[in-house]
Amino acid sequence: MTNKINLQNQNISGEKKGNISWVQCSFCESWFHSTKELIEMKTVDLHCPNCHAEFKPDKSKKIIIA
Amino acid sequence: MYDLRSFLEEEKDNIFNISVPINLNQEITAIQQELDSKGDFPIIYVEKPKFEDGNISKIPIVCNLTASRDVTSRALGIENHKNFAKIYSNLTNEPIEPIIISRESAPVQEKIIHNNDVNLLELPVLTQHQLDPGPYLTSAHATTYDPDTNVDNTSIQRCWVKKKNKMSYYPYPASHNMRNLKKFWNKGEACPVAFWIGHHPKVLMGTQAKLSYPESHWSACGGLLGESLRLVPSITHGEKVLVPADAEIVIEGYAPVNKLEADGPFGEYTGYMGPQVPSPICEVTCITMRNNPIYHDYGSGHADMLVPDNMVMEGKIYSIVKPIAPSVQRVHVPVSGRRFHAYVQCKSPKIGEVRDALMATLSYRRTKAIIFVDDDIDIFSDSEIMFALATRVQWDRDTISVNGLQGSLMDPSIVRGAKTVQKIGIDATLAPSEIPDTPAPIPPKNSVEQTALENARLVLSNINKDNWPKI
Repeated sequence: MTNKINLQNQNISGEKKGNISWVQCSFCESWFHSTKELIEMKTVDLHCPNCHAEFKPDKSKKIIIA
Repeated sequence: MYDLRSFLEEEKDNIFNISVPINLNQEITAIQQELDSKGDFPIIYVEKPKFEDGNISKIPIVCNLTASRDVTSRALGIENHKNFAKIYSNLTNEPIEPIIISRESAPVQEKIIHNNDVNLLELPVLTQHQLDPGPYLTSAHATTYDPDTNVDNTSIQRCWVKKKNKMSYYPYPASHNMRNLKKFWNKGEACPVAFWIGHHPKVLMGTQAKLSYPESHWSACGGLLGESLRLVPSITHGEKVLVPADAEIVIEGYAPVNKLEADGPFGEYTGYMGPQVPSPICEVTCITMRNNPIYHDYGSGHADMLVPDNMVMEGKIYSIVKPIAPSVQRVHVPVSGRRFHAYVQCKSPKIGEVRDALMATLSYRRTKAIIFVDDDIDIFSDSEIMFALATRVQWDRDTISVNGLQGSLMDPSIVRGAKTVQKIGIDATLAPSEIPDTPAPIPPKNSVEQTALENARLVLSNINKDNWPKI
């Protein structure tokens, strides 16, 4: 089960927040960054650039969506 | 007739030839990075690109082809790079239609590799940065066409080589190639596409001309060439997708309907790794090439790729602002600002003229900050731009800031969840004179007399300054 964290959108003027989502690979545990759009697609596998494993987003070890 | 080879011959004295084997994985890019940091921009020719397995590619690589503003301007017959914007704008406004030649006469079809014999992995494709997931074509010019009008479009597209006959590629969501792709897919048809690599910079920069949709780039190339660009029907798509006959390599195929795969992360022009995104793929049907092709690589995020694209932007911005602000002299899109900043130099602008021009340039999708300065400021010096900002701007009075405009979503600073960007226009010109034939109510700049300056240069000439403090 993926540990999924949704970061809140920016709503306080002047406060800086990043805009990149991160995925942790279940196989090699390395992190890579992606878009919310890709992570929320059910039909496209993510590709770990470190170990080249391909997996559905819900098979990620951890996801941080910004 | 112009091609990559004729350009290399023109610039043979500016080529850094590397005859020892160099690994395709990051080593060539590291050389570019070192050269960039030293402010050196030779063309790099790698005779023996080395694959990960130690084998040497039979195909040499040229990169840093357009890393120098001087070399790039010269390629287009422009003597002084500082005048590029005006001349490029004029040249692309004088289009020359392309011609179609026979396949037998097309150098790029000297060698034709079909279907099962296709092997992208034999091309010397670089893995540029350490978080790239694999080798990427970075100078692949993707040519597609609008199925409604049959008008073609060409744009550089990053392509991740995944298998012998498959690569993903990334047309930016707002791009004309993406519009063409979506039109085919909406009809339930695979999108025909051809990626061509290697040509004279006149052609490379003609294809980067910022045009409306649908509008072919071939005649803009002709404008820069001063003659018709030679095209040839692709093997797979015939006259529907024409490719430059004097290119080095062409990869032909189809993007199957609604087939998306993860692409990236990829080291982008912003200087950051672009995120993994859903991208179409190309199933390759045919590769054509010269008998002894040269592979061209653009160093993504380096001067190699930023300089030509930014110089084309200068031409576009000049075209936008000149009719509105006749006082505009020169435009510079500096490598330091990636593609986000533009400096515009004007001479004695009339009251309101700069703000009118700022409004117009803010609408140009690619820029994020536009700074107008007077003609005493060298817009090719970031330091002088900082001087103008420091001494000629009151932020509330002299800036125009607009939210919700189209921009690059690769900007790491975009507000989370937003699909648009905030832009700023800055009037960093000095106040004008208010009474005819009298000085403007501003202080004069510090200066020394010309004769004192000439004497100083004499005193400082022929002295070894290498060990003097630089900062």
